[in-house]
Amino acid sequence: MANESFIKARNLVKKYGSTTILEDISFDINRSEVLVLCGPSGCGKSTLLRCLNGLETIQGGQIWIDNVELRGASQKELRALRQRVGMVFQMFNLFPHMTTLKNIIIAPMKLLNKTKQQATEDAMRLLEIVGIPEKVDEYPCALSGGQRQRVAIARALAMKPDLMLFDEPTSALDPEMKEEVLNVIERLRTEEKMTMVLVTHEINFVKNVADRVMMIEDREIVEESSAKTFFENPKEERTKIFLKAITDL
Amino acid sequence: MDYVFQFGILKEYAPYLAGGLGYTCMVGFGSIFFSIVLGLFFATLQISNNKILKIIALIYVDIFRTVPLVCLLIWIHYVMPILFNVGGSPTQSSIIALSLNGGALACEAFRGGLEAIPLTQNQASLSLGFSRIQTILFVIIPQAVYSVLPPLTNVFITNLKNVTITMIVSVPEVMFRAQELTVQFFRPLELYTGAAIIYILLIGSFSYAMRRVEKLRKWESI
Repeated sequence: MANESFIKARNLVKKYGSTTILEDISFDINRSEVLVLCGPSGCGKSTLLRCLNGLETIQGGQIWIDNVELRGASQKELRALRQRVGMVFQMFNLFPHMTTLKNIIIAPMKLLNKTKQQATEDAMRLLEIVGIPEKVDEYPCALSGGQRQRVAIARALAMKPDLMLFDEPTSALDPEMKEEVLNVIERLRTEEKMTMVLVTHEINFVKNVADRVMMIEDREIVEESSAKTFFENPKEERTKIFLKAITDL
Repeated sequence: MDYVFQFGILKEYAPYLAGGLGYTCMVGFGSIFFSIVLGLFFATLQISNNKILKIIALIYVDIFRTVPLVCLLIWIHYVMPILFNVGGSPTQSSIIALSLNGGALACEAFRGGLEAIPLTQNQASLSLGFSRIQTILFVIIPQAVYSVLPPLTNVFITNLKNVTITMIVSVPEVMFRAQELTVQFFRPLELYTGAAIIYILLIGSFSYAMRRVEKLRKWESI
């Protein structure tokens, strides 16, 4: 099924108790495609992202990632899937008790049975990619926000994921640090052809890297179009209002 | 005040008093060990998702941190043999009583430490593909160990000080010997002060050691 989409979501429903967060969400993402989710805060974009690696269970519909059904998957299947889906968080979520190196090598060593030497070699290569090889022996408390986030990206990449999820990766960072992180993400797209789903409000960045943009509001997809159309020629009124609101910031 | 201090008696009997340290340490550190075991066990029950296990842990904690230690010790040492025909030496009964009490206190310290680890650490670990057990082993416990140390040190010190209570069942530790000598020589002030100094030295060096352990941490939480 070579031309099946890499991620397929159909009529996805997410509820917390009796509150519906997402309703009837359907979309496709192809390999090497970069999809950006945007929308007002609290619209469920981060929740949708967490549904894509099974950190959140869905109450209706189905998600397939590389033909693995998420809903109804066993814990073991979900763990196997999460090993192939990297996630980067807004607050980095590095392990504070491990050095940069240990943060990056622990998962490959414990989960992919790599030797320490193999894992360390991979980690050093990744640290080169994210541009901070000199921080290899530092603890997270000694790193700046931008450096922490780049370590977090390297940690996720160390599992050699097929898909990377970014949950507002730069919104906790100062402007100059945002740049560092965004450059890394851009490199992943151009050099590694990584499939990525991002939640972000960095409009200029989105214009550069996104293949498609999906706007979510009031539990549903408002508009889904190519990045160019989304910004230059939005169809929906709500999209226009949203774009105006974030460009006015 | 016409009391004349005669600390000279300590010169003669200090070795005898200090000879009780063996028992103090046996009961003190023995009960610290079992307090850790009980505390970890019940703290795990408390943070589990199972309601019944949670309630069991709550009942344990509430019983053994509220019952006065003297009563607990007397029940275990004198009442249990009568009711159930089970019993042990004074030292054994004391270790059991102090462990049950210390375990309840340690449980709360452990729970606080485990709950202090942000949920996002869990998420980060799970998102890498780790199982819940691996997450607890590699991510939660190594962090919790350090956040738990200061409150746990308090529990351990309480355990050590509570050893003095075991004189009511005649464990020949330092305080029991001070009382024994007092009856003989009517020098309570000097003898109990001597016992206090021994306890202060013991607990002082213990808390110094614990502080050194706390300092082994090379990282800070972020």
